[in-house]
Amino acid sequence: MNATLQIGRSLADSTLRALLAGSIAFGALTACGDPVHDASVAALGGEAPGVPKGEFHRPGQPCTLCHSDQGGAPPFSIAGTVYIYADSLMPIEGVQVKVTDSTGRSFTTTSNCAGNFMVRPQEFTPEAPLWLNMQRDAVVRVMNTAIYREGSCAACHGDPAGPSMVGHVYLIDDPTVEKAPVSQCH
Amino acid sequence: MPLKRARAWFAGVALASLLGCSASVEDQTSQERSLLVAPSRNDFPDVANAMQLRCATLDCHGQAGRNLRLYGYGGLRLSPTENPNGNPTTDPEIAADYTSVVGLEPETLSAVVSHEVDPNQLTLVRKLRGTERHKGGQPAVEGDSLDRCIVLWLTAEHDPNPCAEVINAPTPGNH
Repeated sequence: MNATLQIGRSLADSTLRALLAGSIAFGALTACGDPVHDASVAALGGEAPGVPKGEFHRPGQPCTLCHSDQGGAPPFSIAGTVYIYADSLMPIEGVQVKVTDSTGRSFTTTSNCAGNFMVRPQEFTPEAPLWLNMQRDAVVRVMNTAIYREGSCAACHGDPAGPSMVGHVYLIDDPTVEKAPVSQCH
Repeated sequence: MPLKRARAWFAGVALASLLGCSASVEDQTSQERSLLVAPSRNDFPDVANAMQLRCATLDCHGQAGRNLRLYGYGGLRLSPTENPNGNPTTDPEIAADYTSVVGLEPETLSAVVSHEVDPNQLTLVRKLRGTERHKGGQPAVEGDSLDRCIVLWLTAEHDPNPCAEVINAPTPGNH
């Protein structure tokens, strides 16, 4: 009688274990990832040699792909990279980027030596649509259109410019009229 | 007798399903489809220019993947040699925008233009007013300039003034 009970118990245990293992395997195989997002992140490639993860990394890339709830990195409300000229990828620091939202609130952040700037949600969580302008010294550049959804400047401001891409963000439109600031960065 | 009754029943079902399907879009002849009415093409440039500002940026409907795909200055361009910051919106872009808008729900649109149903029957209007989930939020409130610009045009009562109000509205961040 005891032997029959033990056999029954061990059968039940092994069935439970098999069920548990099967459930874990099924869960792992059907995890709720987003293959489109994963592919977009993978397409960005690895870090540039000699540039650690941080405020200077990955200039010109769509920041909020990773810096979002979905991406896992500390989220940004809005972020991007400023270059000096339309035809050059020389970054420019010290550019004040002013974000104004639909309620009239605004927040200003400043580009760093990689040209990167970022607004964190704890600093400012704007309500779309947003309007942006940039200023360094006497040079002011105003964005033509409003931003409705996208937090990454590079999602629309990528190179090369084309029917669906504006080209990178730049400060100096006409070097013969606007004086390019001298960079203090190395 | 039971066999005859069964045959009659099947014939009845077949006839009913034929009649039931005859109203579907797939079964419409081109002549029947041509009976659908669309909002004015001539008045559309006013509407297109307003939608361009408020709906057609590259991060919204200025994308090739959208059902409601909109072209124009500041957003997606129709010409492969053009870019968003290039020339003003072109006539072919306005024509493409018109095709995009009227092609979304042609039967319902026809009924809206003919005042047979309320404009809210259109997904376009529900999304515009935020009464249906819209990833871009609520671009308009019923009765505001953008809403009147689009809905008056949809209902064949076009008024250029609300469209001009949208186009000329100040942008708070650009000062």
